[in-house]
Amino acid sequence: MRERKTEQLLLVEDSDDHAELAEFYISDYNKKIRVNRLHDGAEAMTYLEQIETSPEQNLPWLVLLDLKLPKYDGHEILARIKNSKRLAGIPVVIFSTSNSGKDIKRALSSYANSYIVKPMEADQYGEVINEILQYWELNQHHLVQSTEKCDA
Amino acid sequence: MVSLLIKNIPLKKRIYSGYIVTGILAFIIAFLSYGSLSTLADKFHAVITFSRHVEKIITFSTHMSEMQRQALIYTSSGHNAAGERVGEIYTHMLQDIASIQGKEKLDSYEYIQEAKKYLHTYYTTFQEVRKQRGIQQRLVRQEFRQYATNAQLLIEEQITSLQASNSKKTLQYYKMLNFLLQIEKNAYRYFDSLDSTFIYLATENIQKTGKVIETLLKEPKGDQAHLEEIARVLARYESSFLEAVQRTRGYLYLVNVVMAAQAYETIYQAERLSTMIAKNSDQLQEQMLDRASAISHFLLLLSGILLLFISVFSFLIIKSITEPLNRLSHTFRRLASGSSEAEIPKYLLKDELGELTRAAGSFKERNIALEESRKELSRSNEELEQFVYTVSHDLKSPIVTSMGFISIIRKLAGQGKYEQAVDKLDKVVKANERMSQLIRDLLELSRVGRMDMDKKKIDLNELLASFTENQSMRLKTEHFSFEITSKLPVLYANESRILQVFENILSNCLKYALNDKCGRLEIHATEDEKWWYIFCRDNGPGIPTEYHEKIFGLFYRLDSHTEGTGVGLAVVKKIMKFHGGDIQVEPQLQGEGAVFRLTFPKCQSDTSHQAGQNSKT
Repeated sequence: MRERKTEQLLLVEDSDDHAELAEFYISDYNKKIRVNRLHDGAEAMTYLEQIETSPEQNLPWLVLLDLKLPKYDGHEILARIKNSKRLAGIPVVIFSTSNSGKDIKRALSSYANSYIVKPMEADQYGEVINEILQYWELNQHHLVQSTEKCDA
Repeated sequence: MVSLLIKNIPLKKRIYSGYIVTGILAFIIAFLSYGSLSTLADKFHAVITFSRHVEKIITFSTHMSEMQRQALIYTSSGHNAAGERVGEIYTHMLQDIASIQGKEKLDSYEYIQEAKKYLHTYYTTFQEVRKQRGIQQRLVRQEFRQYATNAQLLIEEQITSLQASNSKKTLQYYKMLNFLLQIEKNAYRYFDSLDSTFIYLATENIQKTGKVIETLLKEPKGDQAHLEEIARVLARYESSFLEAVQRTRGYLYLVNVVMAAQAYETIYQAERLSTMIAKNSDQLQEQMLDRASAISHFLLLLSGILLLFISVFSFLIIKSITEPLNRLSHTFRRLASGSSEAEIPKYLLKDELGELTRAAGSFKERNIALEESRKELSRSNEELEQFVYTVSHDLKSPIVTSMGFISIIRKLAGQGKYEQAVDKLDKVVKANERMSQLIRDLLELSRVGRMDMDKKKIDLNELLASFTENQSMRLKTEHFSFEITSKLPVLYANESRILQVFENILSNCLKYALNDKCGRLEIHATEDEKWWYIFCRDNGPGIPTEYHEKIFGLFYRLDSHTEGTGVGLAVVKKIMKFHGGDIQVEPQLQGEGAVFRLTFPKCQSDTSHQAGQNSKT
């Protein structure tokens, strides 16, 4: 539990409104989760570069990645993460308005851990966020973190 | 060369010319055959003439021998009719010779001339013979007999005068009379048999008579005068006999030696003539045979050559027709399969195949147009797909926002946090406003190229001057300057759309290129052979190279904090494409500002005009 406090969730989202919604529901789920919000593709790239090269810095616990972003889009950022040896283990959940088959296929073939379409129905947004957080908090997250520790 | 010549002739004429050439060649063959055969006929004619000539010559020989025969009859029998007949034949032969000579000149002419000469001498000799014979006959039959009779009468007169008075004398006279008879008998025997011993016997008897006269003269009491008379007659008698003998001998010489030689000569000439004729006729035959075979060879060769020529000629004609036809049929097959790459044979000729080729050309054009429109269709389809994808994504976004906030509001309201909930209502409103803005922009975009796109000549200088005036308020408040630094071209374009291009670029600059200093947008133009280039340079932070393509995408925004929907530059791009041009970001160094390059095709009026015509058809 001590570890978890320092852990953070990386939210890459250009729309302020969508970011606010996400942050609202994340804090609603667990106030201890620290959300690091990045506004566009370029910002995300810079941040990833930074955490990749400095080993003392903790890796994000989960990445919520929008696809349509200014400068670099979500696919490019996903590829950047999954092609990096150090960052590839971070679970990346694509969280986009797009439900196009092309996008889903492309994201999954680039090793996205999950693909969630932003819900257009009332009250669904919170539920989806809850489910994502629950899934990654209870399951894979611990395994990934512990194996990484063992490897280290 | 020949084939090129053939290809310039229309198909119909080509076929006609084939027949005509064949006909002409057939005529040539016939004509040459006719010529050859007529020379052959000429030869044949010569042969006929020659054979007639030969006939004449043969008659000549026949006449010659007939003449000889008649001459022989004459000499042996002395029939006058035979002599006359010889003369007749002679004149006839002279006529024949004249007719041969008059007709034509032959190699035999010389010989005939020779023969004629000999014939002439022969005839002259014959005439001489006739004369000699006449003289001899006269001598023998008249003079000689006359003298014989005179001598006999004189002796018989003497005998009667004596009348047994002197028996001894009478006996002598009878003896003399006997000798005279002997002389006459031997002389006639000679003239009959031509035996010289009879001449001797006759002269012996003459001498014996002379001796009897001598003895009588010695007798006295003689009748001397009478005896002398008898001796004189006897001498005359003897000389006449000897002359007759001489004449006979000369005549015989003439007949046996001279005439025989001449006859032989004539016969020799005739033989020579006939040998020559035989030789000539052999030559003529050989010549005819040679000529006939030469003609047949020549005709055979000529026919062969002409046949070859005809086949080559017809082959060329057939090739000139079938080759392009084959190529065309191949092309048509490919065209039928919808290929626009089927090669249309290069065939710039005026004939029927040229027409067919042109037809194929129009097929190809149709195919190319189809291909073009198919590509256009697939491109616009792709564009549409992209558009739908982008639109669905970006239109969903405000809905997600408003729905999300509505549920937050509900939650907050449920928890009794009304103030917070009311605050969030703003978000919902903004999201909906954005939604309607998006829809308006999309409508605007869809209007480009669809409505109000009439083109005309517009002077960009004037257009931008009035644009600056209209925008002056906005520029003033933003402390932004808009400058035109070179003369701008006159374009053939849609005025309001071009205005929209500059408006959007200016808006873009006002959103992104603002900095601490006074903002500036500078416009200038350059050109090359085909294009006008219009550069719009600002003094903002510039656009990183990796976004140069992306910024023209629909709903693409470099910065989500600035206002706008990301449609402006997409609209500009679409307008430029519609005008046959383009818009690009020029690569610049960092911090040197952004430069948009607008490209307009030159001679736009022409191309647009053509495009207009095409669209009508």
